[in-house]
Amino acid sequence: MEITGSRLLLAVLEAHGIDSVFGYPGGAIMPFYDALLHGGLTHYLVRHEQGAAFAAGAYARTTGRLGVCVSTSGPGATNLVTGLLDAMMDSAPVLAITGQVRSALMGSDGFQEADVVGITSPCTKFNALVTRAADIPATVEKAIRIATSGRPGPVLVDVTTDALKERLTWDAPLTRSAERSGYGEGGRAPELNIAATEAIAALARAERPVIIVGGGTRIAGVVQEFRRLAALIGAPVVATLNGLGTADPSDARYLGMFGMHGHKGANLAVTRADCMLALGVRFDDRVTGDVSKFGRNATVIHCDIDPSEIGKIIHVDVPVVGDLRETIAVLTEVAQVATMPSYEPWLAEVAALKRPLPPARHENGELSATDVLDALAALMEPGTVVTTDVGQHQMWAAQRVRLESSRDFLTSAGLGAMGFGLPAAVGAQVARPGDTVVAILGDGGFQMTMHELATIRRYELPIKIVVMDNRHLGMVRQWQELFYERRIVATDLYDNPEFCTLASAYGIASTRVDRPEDLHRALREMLDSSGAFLLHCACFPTENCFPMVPAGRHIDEMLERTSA
Amino acid sequence: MSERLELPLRDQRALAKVLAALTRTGCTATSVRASFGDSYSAVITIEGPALNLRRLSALITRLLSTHQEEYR
Repeated sequence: MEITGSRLLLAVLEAHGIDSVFGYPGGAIMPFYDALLHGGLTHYLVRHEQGAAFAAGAYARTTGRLGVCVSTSGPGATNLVTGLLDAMMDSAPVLAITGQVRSALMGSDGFQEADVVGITSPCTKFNALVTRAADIPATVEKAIRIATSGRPGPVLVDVTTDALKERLTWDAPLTRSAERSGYGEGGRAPELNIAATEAIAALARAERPVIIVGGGTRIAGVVQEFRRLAALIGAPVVATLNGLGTADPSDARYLGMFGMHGHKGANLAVTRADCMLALGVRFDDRVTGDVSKFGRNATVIHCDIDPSEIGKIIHVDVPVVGDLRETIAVLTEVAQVATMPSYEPWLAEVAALKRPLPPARHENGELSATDVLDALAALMEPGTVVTTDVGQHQMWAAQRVRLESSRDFLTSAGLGAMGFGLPAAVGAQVARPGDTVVAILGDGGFQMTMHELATIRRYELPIKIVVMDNRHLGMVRQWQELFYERRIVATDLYDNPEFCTLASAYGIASTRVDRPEDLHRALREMLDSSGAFLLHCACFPTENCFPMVPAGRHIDEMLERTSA
Repeated sequence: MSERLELPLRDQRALAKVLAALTRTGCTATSVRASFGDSYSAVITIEGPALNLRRLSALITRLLSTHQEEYR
């Protein structure tokens, strides 16, 4: 069969079950877009390539399947970089397809030429340049296999225009590369049984154990399996930002998020623990605080699929390397026959450590951001997907939103990329068309990618957009107030646009709420709307996010209010 | 501290990634020897503080895992 490189690329994607891609066309990738006319892929036209990468990352996070983004060469490809690094930091399987100038131009500083493979090497698991159509299937299959195996991550295939246009005869079947969850050959490694036995023995010897649940559990899709294991062990549970939603929120032993803006009880429990079972956690500095003091008196059991994480940040006593699904299964088997202590004195101590979040501040009858999020959290149905941007609202949401699944909370955790929330909501809504998707955004982050309102409008995505407008880059302002002697520099967004007018320009329904007494009605109006809806919450600007551990301090050194 | 690493690489790009990781972690390559015959291999002698070497080691472990996966 005679076929072009573009049609072959399309056929490989379809053979891998890919049905949705997010992208933006341009010169070098035009042959691929031309081929889209003949394929079964649905292409979602974003308004900036960064939005395509974020949408693909969110699609991957909320489904566990590969997300795909497409761009042209040069600036199109470089605009993907932040989204690719975000996917790298949070281990999301994303495939980026980029067009490249024709082979004869490469290295000549041609129009829209960039060394995309060089630029994206540190922010992809794998990348490759393809200059011959015949190499497209094997390269894309390899890229998909690497993106989805082991610790997932982004991959990029850069294809020259001449390879996309090249006609060739192709009769070989296009098969889906075998999906494997781990790096190994499959099956249970004997070392896993030994390590799991050691881990459960360490927990049984402990008097004050804590289970730390991280983003690896979301990737492994082990919500029920984890909850069964946690119940068997009977220890208190805390979560990282990416681990939210895995633990049972109604379990009295669940203490919530820990770390820089963690719940006080969670931070104190981790500090006092004599044994930690860490599942899919990479011990980011935002959770360890002063790493020299973190886990100093605890036996640390670290379970992760990525051996490079073991011992990278903190000393590990019991390493357990393997796919978390398999690891949790083995730990459960061992725990079922082990005699576990009741930990009663410790559970009583932990129960006494639990503290409600600091109450909202109210200034002159203005709207408080934490009141908005408390009210929103109370009204959202289970199964609602929440995306956030980065900053105060992200931490307030993480502290408050009650999640039934780890795939319901999508945030740029590791990279902390502002502008993530709105395009992430696009990706989530495409992936889960039957579910409610709520994008909780700050006024700063929203304005980084607000052009994706056009994407939402075009595809009639019924996303609920909550813009928490405190007319500041709130988290930076908070740091300026607390750690830079109140020198407020370049964080005042006093000249924000009128967001409802903006929504109206894109044909999206909206309402603005300024007063606490109008909040419930406005939230209800948004959640009851059938289409996309923007809720502009005009909040007072000086509310701070607490608790807060100052950077570099131990996680039990929490600020709970602004000092006078 | 100093470490000598023998890296079972399959191509020069992997070596470039390892060298980039050295800069990122504040380590120094005091010698690099690469050979290309039936396979590609490299021997690097690295110096750096213990903490930096530990972080570099984690990055190289991850790079090599993916590199091996690439050639499966």
